[in-house]
Amino acid sequence: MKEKISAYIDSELAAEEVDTIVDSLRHEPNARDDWFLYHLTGDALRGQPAMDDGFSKSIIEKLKTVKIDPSYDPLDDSKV
Amino acid sequence: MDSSDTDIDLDLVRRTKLGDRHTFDMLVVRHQRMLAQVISRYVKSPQQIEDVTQEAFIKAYRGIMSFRGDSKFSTWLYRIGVNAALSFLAAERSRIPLYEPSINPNTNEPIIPQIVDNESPDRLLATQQIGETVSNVLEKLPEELRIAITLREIDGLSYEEIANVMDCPVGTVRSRIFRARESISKVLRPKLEMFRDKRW
Repeated sequence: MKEKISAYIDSELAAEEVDTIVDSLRHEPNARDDWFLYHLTGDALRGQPAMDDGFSKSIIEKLKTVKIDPSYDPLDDSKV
Repeated sequence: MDSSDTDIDLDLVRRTKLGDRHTFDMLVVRHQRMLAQVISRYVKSPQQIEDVTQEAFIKAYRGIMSFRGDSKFSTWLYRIGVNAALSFLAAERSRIPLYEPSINPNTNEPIIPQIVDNESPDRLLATQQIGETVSNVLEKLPEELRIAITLREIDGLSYEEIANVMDCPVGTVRSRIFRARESISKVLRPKLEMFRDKRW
């Protein structure tokens, strides 16, 4: 499972295996922990600043109150 | 990437568009540091960087249907982040009156404000310690793991390209990159516990 998460991060997972991995990332805290750590590792190797998981958690919590708007284009200021 | 493989960002966007909000959460974890770094070039205080980064992700989620896949998702998000930062700066400028320095009553000279660093001390410490940890583990990795993870994470090569460089099967590359990530994560995990009681 962990190796498949690693391959998925690199867009190197076979299409037929993706559903299983996404499902585990949705439901299994350990899989989400690996997801966070593998990305943190890559960002650290590239010299990007560290951000704790509390930061993404606060964004994710806020997103629960947001709805997708099919008519909204974030790159079109006239519609903001 | 093999033609049968799935581009992860496009896949997660597709799932988000179909109504699976959790897959956008995965995009947040995946791109938060890149986006915050872009925004930190424009916005100075750590709190403002977080606020603008959050705002950019909210805009991206709300407008996800407008992403057609003509560019990479990270490029689209980058543009949203820059626009959010510029909008924030414009709003700040309209709120803040023109700067007039205070005068020190003792010397009768203007008081020059300190330049605010855009990294919080905790985040700087975390970045430094995480960077050092990753570098130390990387140095101690077997050469074939170190080369594989470096070619992937720093040089951005696909598994097939790495296989060509290292003259080994693609499956071996996949295994080496995974083992490198696991080796680093095992050392990194307890380090993160040190910062668990505080935001960074």
